[in-house]
Amino acid sequence: MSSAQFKSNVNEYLEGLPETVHSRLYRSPATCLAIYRLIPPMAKFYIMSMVFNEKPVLLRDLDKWIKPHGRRHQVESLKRIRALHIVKDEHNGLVLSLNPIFRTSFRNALTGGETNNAFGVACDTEDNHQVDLPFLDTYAANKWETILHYMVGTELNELPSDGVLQLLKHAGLMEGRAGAMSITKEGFQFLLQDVNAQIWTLLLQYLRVAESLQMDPVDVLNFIFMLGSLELGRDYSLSALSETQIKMLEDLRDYGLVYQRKSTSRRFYPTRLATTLTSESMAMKTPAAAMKEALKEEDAEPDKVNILSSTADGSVIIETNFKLYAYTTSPLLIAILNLFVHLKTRFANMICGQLTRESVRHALYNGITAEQIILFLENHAHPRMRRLGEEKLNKRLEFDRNNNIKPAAGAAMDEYRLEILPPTVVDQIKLWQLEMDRIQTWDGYCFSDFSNVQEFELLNAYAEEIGVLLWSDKNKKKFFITKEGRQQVVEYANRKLRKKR
Amino acid sequence: MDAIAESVFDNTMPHAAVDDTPSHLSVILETSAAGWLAIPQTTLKQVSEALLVALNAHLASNTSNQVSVLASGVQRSEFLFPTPEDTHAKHHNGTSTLVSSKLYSLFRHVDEEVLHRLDAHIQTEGNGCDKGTLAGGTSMALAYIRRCQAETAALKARILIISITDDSAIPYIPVMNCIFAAQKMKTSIDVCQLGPASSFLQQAADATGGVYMDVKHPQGLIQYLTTAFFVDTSLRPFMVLPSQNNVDFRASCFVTGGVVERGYVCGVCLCILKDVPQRNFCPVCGSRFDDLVISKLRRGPVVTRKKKRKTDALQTPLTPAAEQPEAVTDD
Repeated sequence: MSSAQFKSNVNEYLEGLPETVHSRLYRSPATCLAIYRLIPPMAKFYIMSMVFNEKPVLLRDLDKWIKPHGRRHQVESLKRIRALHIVKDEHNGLVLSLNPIFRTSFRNALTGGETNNAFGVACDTEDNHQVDLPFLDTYAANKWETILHYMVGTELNELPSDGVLQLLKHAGLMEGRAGAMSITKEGFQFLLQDVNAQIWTLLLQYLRVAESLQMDPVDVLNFIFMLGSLELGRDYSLSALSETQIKMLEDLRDYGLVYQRKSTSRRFYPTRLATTLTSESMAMKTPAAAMKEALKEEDAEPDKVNILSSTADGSVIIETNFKLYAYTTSPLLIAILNLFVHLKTRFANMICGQLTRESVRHALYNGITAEQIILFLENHAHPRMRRLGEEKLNKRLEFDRNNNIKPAAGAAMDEYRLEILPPTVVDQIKLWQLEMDRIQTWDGYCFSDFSNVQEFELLNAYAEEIGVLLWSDKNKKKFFITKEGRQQVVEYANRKLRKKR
Repeated sequence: MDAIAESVFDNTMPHAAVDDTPSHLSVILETSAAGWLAIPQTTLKQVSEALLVALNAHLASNTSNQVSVLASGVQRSEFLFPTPEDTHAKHHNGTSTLVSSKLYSLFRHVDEEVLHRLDAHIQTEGNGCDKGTLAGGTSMALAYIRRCQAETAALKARILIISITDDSAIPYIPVMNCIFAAQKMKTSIDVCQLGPASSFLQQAADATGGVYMDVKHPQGLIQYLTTAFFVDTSLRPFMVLPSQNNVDFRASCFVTGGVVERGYVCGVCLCILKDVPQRNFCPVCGSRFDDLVISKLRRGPVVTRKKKRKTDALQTPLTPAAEQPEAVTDD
């Protein structure tokens, strides 16, 4: 699962909360900050422009900022922040106003006003058992790795705690009874995600379990978001935490998100896994890389091969002939590769394999998507593959610049995307997926019986602009749009067509 | 039907174009005392308050976002953040009263550092009447951005200049060089002009796809900074940016420094001159000009008498055709 998908998971959960819960959530500046980071860039811009502006904003004015081909992003951005109840429509949808609680908290977060200790209370006394960053990193990596290794069935000296096992079972990642659990399809998908997405998957599951245990979701969420804003390597006091949150601390310790020397200790240290919770994909690689740095220093223990370290620095090479080489000894990485690669030979420090139609189809049957495979390979690509891709891209840019070739404005970003994997391989994997699902279904609405071509074209163009159009036929004067887009298209139709009459 | 079948190809990265990529914001704050004195509506203190909030806002957008702040004084430019020796540790334990200790630690770190450094910068700044060091500051910022981009390849960057001086304080050639460097690096330069309008900075913003705004109401600076100047680099292709309708593209004379509407260009080094050089060589590169041409140019416009007969073709008129120094047209 890509980071985008993890984000959508978190967002789905957040959007599903009722308005009252949102209002309570927004009282914490740390939560506002974290949620602000999760929304799309355009929504960020809208919110930021409204935070210091007391007056509600005319929707028409917001439109003026956006070029026609950006309309799709605008519609989506607005939809998202409406669902989160950060903004509200007033006066028949002509005016947009910011949630006053959100405004106050967010302003406080930016200016350092009253923040109710939302960003944690640091201990003011010296810890007698001070721990340093490398220690925290190894601690977190060990904890998390234990869970992952347990899932693929590596022999372990120390099993994850019962709480973790319960959670894995609840999340449907493993099945069977305690002691003899086996990984499920979802479990394999879970392994393909990056660390941050994995943690979020577990935390979201934790939230669901917590609700059934009568824990207040607002407390739980606030704590999770607070962890994301803490400073790495500092100790924080338990004094500002609520009872629920102290109870949570115990569970989070098991995942390696926080370090507490003893369960009776009055202080805790967030680990890198926690402080990067609300970060984006780019940042996620950095902590892992940093973790690797930390671990490099203790190279004396060669058997301590770390999943986090071995994945941070890519080791997988794919050739255009679909052959795959991975310089790794990590059982975890091998197990994951085995999901979609036909592994052939194993050497002391590397494995060889081949991507075949059968191996990929096997993975697809197990519910793994082409996109997941591609993303996984991209994330774990050998630095040389990356360099090769960059060189190619630079050459193209240079060539296009010298010959004055300019891509269409909207496609500019897509056109110059860094291709780490050979395009043939990427396309083939996608084609294999296409073979699987010959039929795709959408819920939506069909528009037909237009009185004339102009009307049809007007609405058709609008639907395409806001990105909800799925299919259209000019001759039959029919088009089909997604479920979500209906309301907007209908509103637009009413506005435009009524005007004419 | 084709459209549906290809969706797997098109939608692999549904929002790749506006995905959150980390971005770097480099702010250059002009600190010349004389400049601030000339703007009675606002003070450096108020502006730095607004600036800190804007920095926080930028950092809030994405955890991997970075900022750097430079002060460009009369005599030198220096980094306010980040600095090689981190003074953060010194006043870490809440001794600093400048910034609320309740602030998010990341913001606090930046804000404390900037204020602390800005204070030190102003204390040590001597009096001088040199041209400002804006160009130096911009090149420092560009160099720093370059370094950051070498570390994180996907990093996007932009520069925000908070300017208080007009063209007279800006050295033309270095600023132009900065603009070209920024263009090459695809780094846009935004200019928030608090003082009198500056045509060079307008050109800088125009050439690099940045935003230039004359801030009429500095009291509401924060709203400017969180709206027009907040548009992230990844969003720029989709947004209508406040742009200048009529950018002043006039260049400046290399010798006198004045703005040139119509001048002369040296054919060798392409330097721009307001007047015909006093002696027969280029004041910048030293190449000799043709005496004849120079004297012709120096003569100025002459009203030629109407020829009586057209047949008199042997006598060529003395119109300057392709002489070495040629007139610059303002485009």
